[in-house]
Amino acid sequence: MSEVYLEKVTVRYPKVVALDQITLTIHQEEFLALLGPSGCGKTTAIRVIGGFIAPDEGNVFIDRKRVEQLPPYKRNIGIVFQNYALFPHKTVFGNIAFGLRMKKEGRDEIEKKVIETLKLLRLSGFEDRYPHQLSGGQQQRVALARALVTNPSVLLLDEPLGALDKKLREEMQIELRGLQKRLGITTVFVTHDQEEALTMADRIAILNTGRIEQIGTPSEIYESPVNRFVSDFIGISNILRLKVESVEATSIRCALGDYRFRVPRMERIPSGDIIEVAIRPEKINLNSEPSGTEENVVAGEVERLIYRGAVSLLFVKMGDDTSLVVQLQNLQGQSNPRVGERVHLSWPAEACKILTG
Amino acid sequence: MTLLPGKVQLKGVQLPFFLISILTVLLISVPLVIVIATSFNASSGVNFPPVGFSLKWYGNIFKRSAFLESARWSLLLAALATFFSTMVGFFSSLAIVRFRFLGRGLLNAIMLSPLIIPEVVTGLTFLYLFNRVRLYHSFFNIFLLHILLTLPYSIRVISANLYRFNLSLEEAAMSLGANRLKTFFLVTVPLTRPGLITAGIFSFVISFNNFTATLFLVTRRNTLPVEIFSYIRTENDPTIAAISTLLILLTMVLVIISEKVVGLERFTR
Repeated sequence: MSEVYLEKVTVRYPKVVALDQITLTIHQEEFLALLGPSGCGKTTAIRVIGGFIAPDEGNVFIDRKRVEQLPPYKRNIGIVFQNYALFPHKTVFGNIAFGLRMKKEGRDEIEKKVIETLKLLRLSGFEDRYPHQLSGGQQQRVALARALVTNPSVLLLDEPLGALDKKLREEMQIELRGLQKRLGITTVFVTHDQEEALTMADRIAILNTGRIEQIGTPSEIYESPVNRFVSDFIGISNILRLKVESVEATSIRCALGDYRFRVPRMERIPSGDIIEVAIRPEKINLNSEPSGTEENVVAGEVERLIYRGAVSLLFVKMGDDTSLVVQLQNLQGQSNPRVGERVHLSWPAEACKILTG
Repeated sequence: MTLLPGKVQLKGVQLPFFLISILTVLLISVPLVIVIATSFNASSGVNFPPVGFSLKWYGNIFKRSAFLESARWSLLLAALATFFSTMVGFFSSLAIVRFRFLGRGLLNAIMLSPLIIPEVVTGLTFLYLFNRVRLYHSFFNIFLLHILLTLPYSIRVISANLYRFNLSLEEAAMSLGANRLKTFFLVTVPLTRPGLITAGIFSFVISFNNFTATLFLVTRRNTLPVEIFSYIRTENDPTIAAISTLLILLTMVLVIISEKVVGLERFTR
């Protein structure tokens, strides 16, 4: 349907730069998640697209049209706020019909579209209720219906699931994503919940202090975080500071104490002889015996074991002040090592990602 | 700290609280009961308990044209003052609540100052001011005075409503294609209605009942409270009790209407 493009957008608040030269394309029919800690600028970004904040510098394009000077009501957007912002003095029908009435559509047309949208969001029969008579999940769907009924160029979602409890939130994630795909509507989704972003988005943009740290598909972000911030923010990461010994054609040999490691070589290697490497806990193997190889193998003592249902997290102390987190599947008949036990860990070279930022 | 259930906490002190409550209710209601009962006296003295029963003092109100005229005058004044006080109060509150500008705190303080200035001072100041500028139009002068007297209440009530206002409601309306004017009339005004109505009722009652400050600006025509005052200086019969009874009735109707309207609004939130 539509494409959104931010070009070197900067927004300054009195004490802080909320967005710092952000350039970002949201492709047609794409579901893009803006993910980051609070204060990272993600909400500012969505408000810039919506027209509630004018950028201090830079341009905003919707449908290849420059819009940064246009007020929200001339942008053809749909927006869902975290608190839903349903009009309390209007019924469900009145709420959903509002945008169509602003467009001065005919009575019959309005009724037809509202009823269609109600059906789409499984809200049929609720049209005469007032927002306060609905549950949180129903209010959420009304807010979504109200944003979608006008057929907007872009749908903006500002932490729309934040107020729902976990179970309902997970249901809505799937429902919302399905709906977005079916309608093929370009969507920008703001969240601080990494699981939500990984579950729903085509691409994720990680924001921090007004800058984009990394942008990519959920698996790119998770598997190949470019820097410490991203690898820390998404999931759990073991980060090792390794001394470079030699750079070879496809890999780099490095060392930490007596241990030797091999990590895949990247196009761009940070200068200096110390590199930071991230390893995901689920990529580390637990062996009872020392394996034959010498590289990417460590031994250590179990410090702590956290049981999490499907998996357990094992904290292994491998050096003076270095600990590794290992994720173990709690398979049938499997017994986990005990605290204090000595274990051997290994991982394939490809599990290591060099952090550049 | 854990709060104990009310019953346990009140044990022992329950009786004094109960007595204080009863005393308060009596203090408020007994004068009203006496006034209402007195208005039905058959005798021409202000007797309580009333001697006999008659409605002649109610008849007397309508026989004296001064009462009716001053009542009409007061009603008109109160209606106009209410309208303007609510409007000015609304826009002042919007400015004070929504915008950060130089002198905002000062504006707020000035708007609320009539609350703390004694009415005698306000009335005298107005009289002096209007004499200096040679403005002798009594109705207009009192109208201005009443706007000033009621404005603090309007601003208090309406800004309390606006502080609770969720701004994303307006943003939602704008995202749906409503321009600022439409957003204002379709979202801001309806959702501020409970505050506007409450402010209106406050303003009306305050304007309609005001005596002290108004007295300074009254010339040939009296407002109802001033007329009542001048009547009891010369006469001593239950006519005033009858008027008071009607006023009590009018106020009660206003309060009930406001409860109905505002109460319903709250329900639909």
